[in-house]
Amino acid sequence: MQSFRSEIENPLVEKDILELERKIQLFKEGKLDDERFRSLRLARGVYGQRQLGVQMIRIKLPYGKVTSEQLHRIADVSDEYSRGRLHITTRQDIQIHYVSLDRTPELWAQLEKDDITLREACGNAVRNVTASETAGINPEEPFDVTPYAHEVFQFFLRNPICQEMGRKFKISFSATAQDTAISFMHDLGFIAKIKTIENKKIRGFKVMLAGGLGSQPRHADTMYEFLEEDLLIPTVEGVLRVFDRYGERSKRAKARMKFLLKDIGLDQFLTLVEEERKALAYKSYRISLSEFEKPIDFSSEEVPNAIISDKKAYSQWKETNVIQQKQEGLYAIGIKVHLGDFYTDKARLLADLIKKYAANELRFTLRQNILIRHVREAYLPFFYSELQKLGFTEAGYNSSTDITACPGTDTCNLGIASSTGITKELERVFKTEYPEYIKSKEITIKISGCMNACGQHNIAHIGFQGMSIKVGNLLAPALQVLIGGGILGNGKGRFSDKLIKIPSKRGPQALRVLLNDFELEKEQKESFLNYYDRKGKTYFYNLLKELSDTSNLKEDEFIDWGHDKNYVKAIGVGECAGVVIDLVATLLFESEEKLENAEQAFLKEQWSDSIYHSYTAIINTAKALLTSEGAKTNTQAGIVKNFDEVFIATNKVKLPNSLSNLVYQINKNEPTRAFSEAYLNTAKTFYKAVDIYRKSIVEN
Amino acid sequence: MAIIITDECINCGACEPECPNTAIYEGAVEWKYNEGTSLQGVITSLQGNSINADKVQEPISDEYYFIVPDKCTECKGFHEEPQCAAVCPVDCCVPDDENVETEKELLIKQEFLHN
Repeated sequence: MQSFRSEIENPLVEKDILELERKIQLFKEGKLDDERFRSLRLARGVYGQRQLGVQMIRIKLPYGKVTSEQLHRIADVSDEYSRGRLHITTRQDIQIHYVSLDRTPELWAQLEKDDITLREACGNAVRNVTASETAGINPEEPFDVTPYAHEVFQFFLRNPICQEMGRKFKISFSATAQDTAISFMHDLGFIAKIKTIENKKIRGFKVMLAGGLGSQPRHADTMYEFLEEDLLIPTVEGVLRVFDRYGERSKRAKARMKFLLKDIGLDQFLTLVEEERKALAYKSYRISLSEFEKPIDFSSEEVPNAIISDKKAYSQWKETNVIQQKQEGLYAIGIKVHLGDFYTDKARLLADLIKKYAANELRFTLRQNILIRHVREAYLPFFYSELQKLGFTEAGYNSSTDITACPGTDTCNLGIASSTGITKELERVFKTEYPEYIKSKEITIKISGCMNACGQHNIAHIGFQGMSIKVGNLLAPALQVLIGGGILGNGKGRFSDKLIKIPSKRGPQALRVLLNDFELEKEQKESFLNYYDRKGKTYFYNLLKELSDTSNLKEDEFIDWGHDKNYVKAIGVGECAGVVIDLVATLLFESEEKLENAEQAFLKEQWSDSIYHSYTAIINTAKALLTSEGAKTNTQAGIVKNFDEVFIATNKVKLPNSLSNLVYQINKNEPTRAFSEAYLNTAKTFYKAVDIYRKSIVEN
Repeated sequence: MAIIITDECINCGACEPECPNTAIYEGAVEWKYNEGTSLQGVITSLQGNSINADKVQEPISDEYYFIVPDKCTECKGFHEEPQCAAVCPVDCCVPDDENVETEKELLIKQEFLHN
């Protein structure tokens, strides 16, 4: 346990890991509140799971990229601390399960040896920054979005402005207008664009704001048709500052940014972002591309022999799983990973393969697959035969038969019914009854075990969501069938209609009914969505109505897919965001910590960081006092307003000015040394004034 | 019958946007008669009580999503079946035995809410 202390080179990382270790200790000794500890560990990628006493660890992999060395490291960590399974998520992370809490600092230290972080993988933070898996190799792309995604990840990691937001924040980058990174359902989604301004080609992005899935999906607003690349970082910073200040905090179900936009509207939101301009760390920020523009390097020139025995299978694989890159003579190979699960033995062989014969890079994809990049044409047969040994050559990468699913009731606390079980069954139906769909991308199918939509079921052409259904006193596992979602491109998308609820065991039959009708009724070359729109929601409801009848349920329909006992509903509480405890003393203690952070950042001459720490110290202090009076503290802006009403207007707390005037100096000043110092003093003075008032109340 | 949300509710919020009468609110949230209806100002309710449609009302439940019985028409006049029940992932939007109403009464209520 001691060993990792001396091995970590980055002092920030070392501090993080030691802090996690210390807090685990305090928690175990009962000296750290449960909720507090939860929110700390979540921001370090340590999540609860359905099984008690063990943790799920989310490994944050920006845009899903790993090198051979990193993949080896992840495999080693999984073998040592987990169970050898790697799960690819729809946000390009890797999750491992059944990890003991005590060992998480050590695990994290291991990962950091290859520059892999857990920091802000869960919790109310900027989550993994995702990107189209073909970024950098896509022949259609205006430019490679990878350096931009990387900088956004790096810039906001550990950044004080986004450490304790009201809720999580998701950012994506799409390589082309095809929008494979699904910008319309992200808090911030960027689509690469080039614009000619005064005969100069300028890089930039179409910006989509405040989309989201979950039980109440919202389509993002277009924030900008074109945002110049140098304004990317300042824009994200402005949005995060506004979200931190105005976002709801008390009502967790209404805390995502989509609800803030719904409340105040785009114009008002943009005005608020504009008001933050002065406070930004950078007004313009040039992102360096040099690290990402190095020539592609191959370690070997010798082409190993490969004998292809089944030419037909090889050609089918080439057709469905191999993608031509924009770099001449290079190809990317897609590996269809069933349910996003693969195992460490194969991961290691794959890691060796890409290092020796490709260019030492692969990406985990949003559809829970693997994409190897930079494979030379002459190496394709060899790769096929090597991947075949690993069972990684199933045809139909990103095809209709490539179904996305979250882990559901297998390991997730929130799962209502099995998502992976039904996925297996539907894939079987495709393979045995509708093999022509292996080559087709006409229909996408996505499945989630609950309404939170990690499996993105509400943007699929056909989606299924886990539910339960009451039949007298009994309970059966069920699926909601949804139709009509999809990505339309260039920032537009559609959410599916919730059609009907059927017993889970009838899922395969529902798929058959839908596919058969599509084959029979579609007009020539009509897309699935056009066919759906032409027929209308009621048509499909009637088509499936028969399957929803629960008066004739058979015994095995009370048993979920992949189980042998009757279905039992067991749904835990989500822990994406720990509920904040409001003990006044704890809050005041935290304010002291925040003042200390501000002091430290000031000494390091990090003016903007110091200012933000002072800001949160003021807010937190005001919140403490409001809490003691039982007043509302839903948003930071609300805290400032209420504080002025409850304490300043009534002269209970004496300040030279209203709190609003004091605290909002933050966006009226540039982040200079002088302001940083003055603002820190303001925060300290305020803390003292509150402390005096609090003591007088307690003593009386 | 009006629909009621039982304590099996998992607070997912799926029902809330489906309600054509804005009768469903998150737990601990204050509500008004005028939200999602055409009711305004002081009116006489169907039971003959005087109510102010613009006035903030106390939440019916602090823990779970709740349905305001006076605003629930079981989707009569809008849909074939109650939409909250149709989308509830745990089947906990059920007919309220203490608030039994006939289809005719529900349709009158629908008209009252949206005249």
